[in-house]
This record gives sequence, structure tokens and C-alpha cells, in this order.
Amino acid sequence: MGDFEKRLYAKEIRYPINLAASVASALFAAVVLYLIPRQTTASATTVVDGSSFPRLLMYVIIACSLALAFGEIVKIVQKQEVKYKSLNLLIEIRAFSMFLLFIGFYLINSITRTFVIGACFVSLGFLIFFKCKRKKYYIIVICSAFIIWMLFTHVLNVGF
Amino acid sequence: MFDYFLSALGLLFTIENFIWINAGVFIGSVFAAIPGLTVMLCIILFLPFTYTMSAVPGMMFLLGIYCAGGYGGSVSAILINTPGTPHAAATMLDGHPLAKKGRAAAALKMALIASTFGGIFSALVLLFLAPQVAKVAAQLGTAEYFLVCLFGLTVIAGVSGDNMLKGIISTCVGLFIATIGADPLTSYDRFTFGIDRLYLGLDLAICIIGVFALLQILSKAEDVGESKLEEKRELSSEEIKARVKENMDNASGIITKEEKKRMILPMIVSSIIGTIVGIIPGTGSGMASWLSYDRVRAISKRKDEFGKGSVEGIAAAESANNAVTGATLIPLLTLGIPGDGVVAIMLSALMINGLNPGLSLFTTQGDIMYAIMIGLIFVNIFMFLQGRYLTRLFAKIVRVPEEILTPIVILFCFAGAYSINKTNFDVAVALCFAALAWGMRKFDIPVVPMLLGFVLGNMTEINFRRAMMLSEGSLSIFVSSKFCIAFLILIVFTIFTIVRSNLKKKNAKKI
Repeated sequence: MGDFEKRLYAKEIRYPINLAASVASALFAAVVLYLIPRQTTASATTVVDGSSFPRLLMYVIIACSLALAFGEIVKIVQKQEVKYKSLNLLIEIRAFSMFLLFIGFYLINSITRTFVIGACFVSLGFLIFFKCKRKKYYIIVICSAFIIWMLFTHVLNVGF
Repeated sequence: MFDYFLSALGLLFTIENFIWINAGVFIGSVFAAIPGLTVMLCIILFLPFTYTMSAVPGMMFLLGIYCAGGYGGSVSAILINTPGTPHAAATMLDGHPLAKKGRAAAALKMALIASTFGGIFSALVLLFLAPQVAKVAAQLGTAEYFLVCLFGLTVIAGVSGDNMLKGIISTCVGLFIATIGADPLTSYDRFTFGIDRLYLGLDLAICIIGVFALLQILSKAEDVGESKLEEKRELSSEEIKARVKENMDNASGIITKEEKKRMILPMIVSSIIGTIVGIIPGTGSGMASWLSYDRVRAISKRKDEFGKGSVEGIAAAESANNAVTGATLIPLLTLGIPGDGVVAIMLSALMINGLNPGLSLFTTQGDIMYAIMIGLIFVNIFMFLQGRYLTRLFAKIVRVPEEILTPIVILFCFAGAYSINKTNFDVAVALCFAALAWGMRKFDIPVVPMLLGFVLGNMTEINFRRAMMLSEGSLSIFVSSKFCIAFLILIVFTIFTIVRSNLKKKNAKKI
């Protein structure tokens, strides 16, 4: 591990998990409630229309978020143990890098319209990501990419 | 029933079906034998192969994977002390100690016999119970059906994770995602943001690829943390090879008469427990195998042998986890409620063939339903035969390094997501679901309720709205029949039981 990685590894973000979950859920529900009139068609003739069910769901989410937050606030006031979650910055960045690798595959596939190019990119990227030193593994995964491409193209008739 | 029975046999007994059953059983055993690869992942990866098949061979293939996955997980649990699948953890407790005594082949054989027994037991329960449940289901109206969905969702929200409120939030998110696309009653678009492709709604299979398969890969990146994959693994490829060789080379495969006798009671008890657990949505084979293991240990005369290579321990864990397989299909085929994520994928395979499990499927497509249920018995028989003769091969496959397997899994995920509608947009949707599930995990919000909320979303909304329209907005329709009241009592009882059990767990932790 290099110096920079060590510094990242030492950095942790700690937050009260249930309180954070309740805030995030309530925010999500608020955004959807804001979107409902803009993204659904209201009906004046029926008792329940296309917006009723999503609206009901968002109210349930808000109610659960409030209950969750209330429980945590009571714990804090009564000085009981509150559950915390720690996020290690290095680990999160690594997972995010893997996600970027997936996005890379998507972009390559969108531009080239050839699955096998994106497939080679993502599988080689994976091995490099995990610092794999065995050359034969690189050859095996490239061959696998070609085999999967051929399988889907010629056996399952998926043209890509 | 017998009319369907005969035509079902005609549908089932084709060479094509038996080839697909065996292919599924083989693939399922291999996947489950490899630690880190789950049965669900296997079914996700091979789902695209069923798109070109009709309902019966497609389901036979998936059921082959599902059932064999139950047994396959025990291979690595017994040989290398690492469960191939999470539900094989209970098998490992006694399977590996028995292997260490030089009886690896006998332990594998016991696991195979118990798995087959549990599987056939639950297939028979499915065959005889499902039509009866379907008869009751046919009497349900929209209000009752909404309450059935609500009951299923309540159980799933309650048993997934340790906080019911988070489970409910997750379920609501799933139900909301199901509203994206055309309104099922008016066909007006909802939450499409002007994207034409969203009008058709989101595919279940794509959601599953993102939420489970891609998320699992992201977890690998997280788990590895500061070191390389090879170094971080509990056992290196070389160590796995050495352990498999050591355990298989001098292994005796003989089970004595006395041992066979001792297996009978645990197999029966565990098959019953596994079947009951399997019927309840949101539970699964992991819970079944631990419950059965504990129960059998409690009634055993040789409690001291448990954890040291007990024959009863292996029989209990293995028969329970395979007894779940047929039972989870009961709510799926009769009510359209999938018991777990794996069965939810099977639901998508049925829907692709125009079969919507629920109210009328047993009357309109009874022959297909019976063919699937009878087929499950044959799946277990072929699992036994393959396990009997190919276990050494499965044991060799345990050695395949993760560095090779994981990129292949990623490629299958992307190819699978693309192939459903042959559009790159679906790959983007799978990535969005992976990001959503990843984010939810940061808040300890379980993803399984979201998935099952998504699966049941359409059915729940349609029945809720129809019921409300029929009653002109009055909620009294939900207490208007004996079935409604029964389901309401069940929902209240479920919530009460789950809350009480969560409180007990919290109090136990404090002590």
C-alpha cells in the first residue's frame, strides 16, 4: 500500500445509521411527492387515479422514516447506545472505481456497438484492478470474452 | 386434476426437457460448489438461455439449477470447510469433521441422499397442496388479493434484516419502482421523464442483475480492501487443491446400515420444517437448515456427536435446505407471490412465456403447471444420479480461481442485461439498480424487500385501485369478507410476532 492509500485507509466516515437512513428515505419520498403531479396524469372522475398509489407509498415511507428517527432521538436523549456505521474511504473508492469500470464498459459498448471490445476492457480492467500477476489469467479471460460474445451472437441470436 | 395430469406427462416426457433438466442440475451443482458463487447468481446468468425456450423446458432448466444448488453447496462445505452457498453453512459443521476422519465420500453421499429426500418430499407437497391453495385463491376478489399481497410483503419486510421499518421502506421503494411506465388501468405514462423506453416499465431480470449480481461484484471490490484477491481469500487456490486431494483420495464412501437408520428421522423432521419455512415468503433455505439442525440436535440421543461429524447433523441440514425448493413454488404458482429472490427470477421466466402465476393459471394452463410440478420430482432424481457419479468432478471444479470466474460472471451479467430487449439502455438500467442497491446498503436497508416489492407492485396496485373503485373510495371493502378478515388477522399477527422477536433479540444482546 502506498502512502496515499495508507492515508485514505486511515480516514473513516462515521454516522448514526438509522438516523441517516430515515433522513435519506424521507428526502427520497419528498422528491417523489414533488414529482408526482408532474409525472402522472390526475383524473377528476375516478376515486383513485395513477397518482394515488405512489402517493400512498411515499406517505408510508415518510411515516416509517419519522418512526425510525423518533426511536433514534429517544435513544440519544436517554443516552442509550446508538448504532453507528463506519465507511472506510479507501474501500469506498475501490468499490466506486469498480463501478466506473462498469460504466466504462457501458460507454464503450454504446459507442462501438461491439460487445467484445467492452468485454475485453472490463475483464482486463478487473484483473489489473486486483493486481493479478498471472499472464495466463489475462489470456483466459480474453478468450472467455470472445466465447461469450460468440455464444450470445450465434447461439442465442443476440446481435452485439 | 387427472385430465391435467395426463397431458402434463405428455408435455414433460420429451428428450428436450430431460436434457435441460440435466444441464441445469450440472450447472447448478458446479456453481454452488464454488465458494462465492451463489445459486441466485447462477440463475441470473443463465436466465437469457430460457428466453428462446417454451415454459416447461425453461422452468425445468432453472429448477435443475435451483435444486442442485442446494446440494452443490455442500461439496465445498464438506471438502474444504467453506460453504459453497450460505445455506450449506450448517452442513459444514458436521460434514467437514466427518471428511477429516477420512469419510469425505460418505459425507457427500449422506448429503446427497438427504438433499434428494428433502427435494422429493417438498415436490410431492407442492404437487398435492398447490392445487388446493389454487382452489382457495380462485375464490379471492380484488380486496382479498390486495391483502394477500400485503401479507406477503409484510412477512418479507419483517424477516429481511433486523429492522422492520427499514424493511417496509425498502418494500415501498420496490412498489414505487413498479409504477414506472404505463399506468396498468389507464395506460397513461408515469415517471417516464420523457424516455420512451420507460413506457414499457422496467424488466424484473434487469433489476435482479443490478441488485444482486453486479452488487456482489462491487462487494468483492469492497471486501478485498487493501490487498489483492488471491491474498485476501481465506484459502488460496493451492490450499484448496491440497484439501480436496487430501479429503477425496483416501475417502471411504460406505454408509453403514446403522447410519442409514439414524438418517431417517432427521430427514423426515427436517423435510417438514424445510417445507413449512419454504412456504413462508422471505425466509429461505438458510433459515430452514439452521432451524432443522437445531431441532434435530434437540431431539437426538447423540447430542455430543453434533459438530464432530454427526450423521444426523448432515441429514438435517441438507434435507431441510432442499425441502425449501418445492415449497417456495407454492405461493409463486398459486398466488404469484415469490418466496425469495431465486423464485422471483423464475417468475420472470414464466412471465416471458405469457404465464402470469396467480388466480387462474391452474385452470387456464393446468397442464403446464402440473408438468412443472411433476418435473420437480425428476429434477431431484437426476440430481441424485449426477451427484452419485459426478461428485469427483464437482470437487475438481471447486479449485477454479476466483480471478477467472469473476470477470466471466461480469460479462454474463452485461450480456444477459443486453439480451433481454437487445438494447444498451437495459445495461444502463442494471447499473442504476446496482448503484441504488449499493446506496441502500450504506444505510443498512435490505434490498430483498425492494426486489419483491417490485415483483408484486403491479398486482398490488391493480387490486388496491380496483377494490377502491368498487367501494367508491371506502376502506370498508377490506373488511367485507371472511377471507379479508382472515388475512388482516394474519398481517397483524405477523407484525406482532416479528416485532416481539426483534425486541427479544435486542434484549438478549443487551444482556
